[in-house]
Amino acid sequence: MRELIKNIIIKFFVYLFLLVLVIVILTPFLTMIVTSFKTENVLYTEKSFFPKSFTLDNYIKLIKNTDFLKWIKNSLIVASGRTILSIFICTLAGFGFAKYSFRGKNTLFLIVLLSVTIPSAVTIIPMFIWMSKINWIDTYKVLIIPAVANAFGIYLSRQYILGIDDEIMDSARIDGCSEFKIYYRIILPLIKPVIGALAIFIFLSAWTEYLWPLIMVSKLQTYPIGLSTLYGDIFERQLTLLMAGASLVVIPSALIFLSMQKQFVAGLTSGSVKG
Amino acid sequence: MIKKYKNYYFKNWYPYFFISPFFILFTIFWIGPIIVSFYYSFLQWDGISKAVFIGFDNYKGLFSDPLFYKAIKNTFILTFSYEIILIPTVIILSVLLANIAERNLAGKFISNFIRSSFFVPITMAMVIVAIIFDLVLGQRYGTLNILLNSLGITSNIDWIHNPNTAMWVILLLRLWRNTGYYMIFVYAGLKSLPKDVYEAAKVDGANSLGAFFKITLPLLKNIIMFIIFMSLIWQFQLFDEPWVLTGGGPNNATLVILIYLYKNIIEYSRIGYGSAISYVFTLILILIAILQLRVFFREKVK
Repeated sequence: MRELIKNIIIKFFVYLFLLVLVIVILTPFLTMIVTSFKTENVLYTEKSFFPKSFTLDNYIKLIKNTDFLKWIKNSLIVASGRTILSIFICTLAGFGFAKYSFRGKNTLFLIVLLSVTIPSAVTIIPMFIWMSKINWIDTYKVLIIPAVANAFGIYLSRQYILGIDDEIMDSARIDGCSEFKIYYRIILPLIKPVIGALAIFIFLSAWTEYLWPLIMVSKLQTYPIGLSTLYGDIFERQLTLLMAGASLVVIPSALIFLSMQKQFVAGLTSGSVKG
Repeated sequence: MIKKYKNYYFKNWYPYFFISPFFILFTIFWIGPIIVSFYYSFLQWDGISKAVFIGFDNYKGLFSDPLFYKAIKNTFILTFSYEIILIPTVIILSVLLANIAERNLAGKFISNFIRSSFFVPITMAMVIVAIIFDLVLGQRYGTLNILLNSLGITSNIDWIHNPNTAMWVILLLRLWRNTGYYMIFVYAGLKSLPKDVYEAAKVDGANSLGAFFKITLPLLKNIIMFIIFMSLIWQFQLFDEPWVLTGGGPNNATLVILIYLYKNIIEYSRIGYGSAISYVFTLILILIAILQLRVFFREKVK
């Protein structure tokens, strides 16, 4: 009997705790969604949380009157471009570091690792001046290419590839496989968890980036920049429109990233390859 | 046969071939600008007219610039309060949730739902989160005020544009967004902990709390160090939220280093001065990284 009471009490507190947690996590989301169905003036006059008159105006206005779809398109292009290029280049380099020995190997890798402590802000000024000179400002190039050489990417790749047995490579070489083919046909399929983790990591950081695009592009807007222009001046603020935009973006983003969550975890724990 | 000979002969070049795309990009877009930035910090320049070499004057100017000190002070306060709250919260929440899932104290669906919902805030851009928090905390009829009013406490404070509370709002929203991200790391680490250690401890009569402090925490040490390291670096570079919500105000209450840098480049066109700011900022970060490494690896040296 005492066991039963103890269990019930524990369960009660657990559920209470979870409830508080859920409220804290979800309140901002709820606010976002609820506001997207209100009209703008109501925000400043109505005292209630839920809209008294429910409207879809914001969503319609968002798609018709703003460049919302363009923003999303731009963000998608930039994020995918960066992710694909970065994965290719970082895993290739990680392969080189993991499976070969060459002069300067350790020094070079150390330099890459140390670069993590240096803020990207220190490159903004020269980059801005230089990108203006070569007309890369306001292009996809400036948003994609500079960020491709990612220290995190090369680190994860190297760690994971280190755990791959050399024998696989040796037997491939005996069969006449070229080194590059080894990378392409053997290594790449084996490091899928790392690729998954990197894909999420890089895509996410490109998708939510703000400062860099703020400086480097003005007409070609990605969605964080675009949506925040709706925030504008205090007299021109269109919060309800903004919330509609935010709501539209959250749902697919969340779904995609949630479905890849497992791979993210697997890639991070850089487990050794079996066999 | 000839093919094999060729492969062997060229094998020495292959690693360089593999790492060169990365290093070419790395040098062009990272090392290069860092060096150029250093050179710029000795100039007085607006980007358009002729640049004047002024030696260390920019750095001297920084040392007597009250706004710069304010920026540093704000950034430090924000970063360290963030860390102090973030790390224990992440660890405790991860352990609690892992325990709940493990012992099946709540339904499996609920556990997964909660774990997933922690991850969703990170998929949203920081600016968007900031603006949403404006609705929750920054309006006359923001969510918090509505809640307080319904509980009988009249409140129509704009928590964001008040110089006293602006910083804490930013702290709160960053915590809300990022906790889930770091929880994933800790959760991954928790999953890979060996179970037999706990069994042995139970046999020896240890209770859960003791097991947590003496077994779990030490085993998680690497992950915790990693999280502290990364989150410190990222937190120092915060920009999005204070910029979009308050532009560094009110009255520079939320002026952080990167905002000050941005203003110098875009609004005041002081390229040289801005470069000097970015360099001092870099030095600060490197110092903090070195400090951390010394603290973390102190035991290994022993």
